[in-house]
Amino acid sequence: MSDFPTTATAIAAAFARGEVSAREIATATLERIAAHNPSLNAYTAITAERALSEADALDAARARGEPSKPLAAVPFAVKNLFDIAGMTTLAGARLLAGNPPAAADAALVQRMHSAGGLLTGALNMDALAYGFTTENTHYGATRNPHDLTRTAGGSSGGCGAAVAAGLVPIALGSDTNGSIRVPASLCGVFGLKPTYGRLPRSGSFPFVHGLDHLGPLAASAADLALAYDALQGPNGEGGRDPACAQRAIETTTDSLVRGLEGLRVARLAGYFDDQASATARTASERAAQTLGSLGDIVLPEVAAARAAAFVITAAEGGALHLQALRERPDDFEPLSRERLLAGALMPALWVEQAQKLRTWFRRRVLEVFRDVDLLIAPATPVTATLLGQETMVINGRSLRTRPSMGLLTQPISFIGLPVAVAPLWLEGATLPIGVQLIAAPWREDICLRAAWALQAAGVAGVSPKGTSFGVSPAPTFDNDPR
Amino acid sequence: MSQLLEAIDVVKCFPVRIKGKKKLLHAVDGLNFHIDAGETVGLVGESGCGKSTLVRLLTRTLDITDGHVRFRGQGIGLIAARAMADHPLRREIQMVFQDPTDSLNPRYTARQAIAEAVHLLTDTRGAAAIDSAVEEAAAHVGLPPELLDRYPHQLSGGQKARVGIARAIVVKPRLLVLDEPTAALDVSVQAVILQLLDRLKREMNMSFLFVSHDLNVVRLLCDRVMVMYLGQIVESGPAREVFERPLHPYTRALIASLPGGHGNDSDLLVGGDPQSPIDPDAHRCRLFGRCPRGVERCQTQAPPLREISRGRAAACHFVAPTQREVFVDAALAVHKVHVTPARRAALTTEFDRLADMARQVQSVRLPDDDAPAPQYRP
Repeated sequence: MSDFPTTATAIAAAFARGEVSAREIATATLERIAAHNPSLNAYTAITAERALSEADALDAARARGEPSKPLAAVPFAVKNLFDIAGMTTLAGARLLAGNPPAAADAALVQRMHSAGGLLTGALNMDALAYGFTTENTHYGATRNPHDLTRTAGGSSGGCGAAVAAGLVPIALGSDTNGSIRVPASLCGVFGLKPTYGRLPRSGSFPFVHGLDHLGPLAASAADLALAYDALQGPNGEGGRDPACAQRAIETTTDSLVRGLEGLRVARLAGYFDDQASATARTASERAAQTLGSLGDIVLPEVAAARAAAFVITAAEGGALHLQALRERPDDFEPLSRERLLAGALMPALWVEQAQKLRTWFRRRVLEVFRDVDLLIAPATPVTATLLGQETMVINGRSLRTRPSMGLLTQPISFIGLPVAVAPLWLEGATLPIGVQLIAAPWREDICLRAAWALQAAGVAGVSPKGTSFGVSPAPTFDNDPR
Repeated sequence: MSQLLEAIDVVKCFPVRIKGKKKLLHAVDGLNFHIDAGETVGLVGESGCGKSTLVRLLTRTLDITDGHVRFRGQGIGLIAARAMADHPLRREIQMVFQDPTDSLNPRYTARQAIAEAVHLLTDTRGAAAIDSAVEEAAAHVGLPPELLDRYPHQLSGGQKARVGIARAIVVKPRLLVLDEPTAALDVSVQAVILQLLDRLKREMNMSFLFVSHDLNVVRLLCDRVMVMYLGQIVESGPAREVFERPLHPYTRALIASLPGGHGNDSDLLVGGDPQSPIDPDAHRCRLFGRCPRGVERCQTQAPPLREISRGRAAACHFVAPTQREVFVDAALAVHKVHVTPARRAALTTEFDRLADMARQVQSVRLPDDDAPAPQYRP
């Protein structure tokens, strides 16, 4: 098996050259999933038959001499809030387990399929996407491939774990307050949260309409760009996402090699240093140094922006689920049930003020992009915490682990900016940590070029030298209670 | 913190015959409470209030009449008491009995008594393995190894109490229920056993339910306390707060009557007979007749146990909830959402967190802008 290429870019190229069949790739991938998923609990459903039949169709098309597709024979998986035709969309929640199966694939699953991807299954997540650790009471916790006693992050924890463990090179996740970026950071993979409104959300289970984003996680910067390019495009026929901005496709893959030539880079300080451990700060400094940062920038009122995101999330999430909270409370995840309910009960004034702050904060941050093209910040305050860990200490303050994992991602998604995460392995580290590469709206290309530049410089990547999946020395971590 | 045990509307009635008529004695009458993982909860109340019945319901040695009991999210209320002996949960909920002499078999040595629990409730087999488990538990409770081969009559009261505790913890339960653990001991020994329990609480990763009529025991050992009167919980909250600032007239009376306790005579219960637990009037406050504050309304409308402030609940018309609690209760009513008391307490915590967030948002002075918040577009 190890003879086959492992990145999406290499698989698609090898398939196009006729070096490998899609069937061989699919079979090897399914074997890998069967071997490693029991310890990771990344998948909640494996679509083996579908992957094999999609593979056979690709092999047949190649035999007929049809041109190869950009993601031909590339295995992928999706967070279980994406519709998969014929399967019930769980969104991590037992609450939804009795729903009828989806009639069709979600828009983005269709696009992956059209580009030649092989769907291998649905991935675990925090219930209803409300959480940052994928500790799911009903479907089990997903474990971090670099240390099985630790969280994979969340809510797209299955995505982070599946890509980090090398099960698939691409996974699709969702990000409302950090749910792509947190698992990318804690599992050490690349991730992209595009601009709000870029990718259509039709056929995915919503959480907070005004904050939900979909996007890819991937094994390399090039794979991330390849997946993103395949996912782009306005609402298709029958598309139902009213927030989709109907932008034309702006491909990024070809621009990666330009690196950061001509771009102005700055590092976010202030709040983004205060809420970060020494490890996370070092990662952001390392990335800034590598990318030629011009200096540090302090954004105004970031803590309030994060608080406003928290308020809006609870309000919209609570409103969405109020009827079920009333009628079927026992089917909710106990870790988030009362937070949702409190959100549904809170005064409208709080939400209105949060929305006003959002408009103001967005204006202030957009002003910054007149002078700078790329902002750098850590993606998580710490490296992966232990499963079940209730608190963590950051700069002497004890914080609740689960909500605080999103401290650094929430203020950015709050105003819809595009962000890529690149995973760093600091000297001697046994766990990765990600940095956020943030650009102005619609400039995903800049985020991806920065991720590519960090990888090209040997600073970012999915596997550290000297560490391999499943083998973990006894390390010391920057935030352990034990 | 994750919830270990939750009781919802738990009722236990015993049929009685009075002058030839069938009646029901409401020993436990609609209890709602929870115990979190790692938490130490005290249950206090005078004899006959239903404490011991509740203990037997939780340990499933008595069948419940109505309601639900959940342990680690799993309903256990319907497991018949006689089926409990073979149920895997029996290991997870262990009990320490009031009288160490009564609860030990006189023909078993301490070692045999502790080993029996290992043999019955765990998969540990083989003399060496069982012996090592027994000795570990004995060390935990401070029972010297040389005493392990003695019979109960050769042990002192304090030593027998240690054997009883070792028997319970040797199977590593998640919940340890202690029914008046020091009541049968000499005063000098009581203090030593309390110190032992305090140490176990810190060393062992389990939850404790202390049942006692002795408020001092509860004050010393418990994180949270529940006060029970005539089959109902009348007050609950963090132990320190309840003792320093009792809310319910019954709790105030209990504390005022402690030697050297807080409170004053006006808190004491007035004469009058306690109401009968037999077919009680569901519309009347159970304390009416003994309560120094009882008014007409207390006779026609029994006060429900409701959230008064964060983590504190009381069942009395004279205890006013905070404005936040009034707001949350009103919002729940408007939205027609019913929550259990355990969830209601968690809801206060989450609501407070949102209020903190809203305050952070409000702390930013935004420029005057009459325009309504626009539809968001990046």
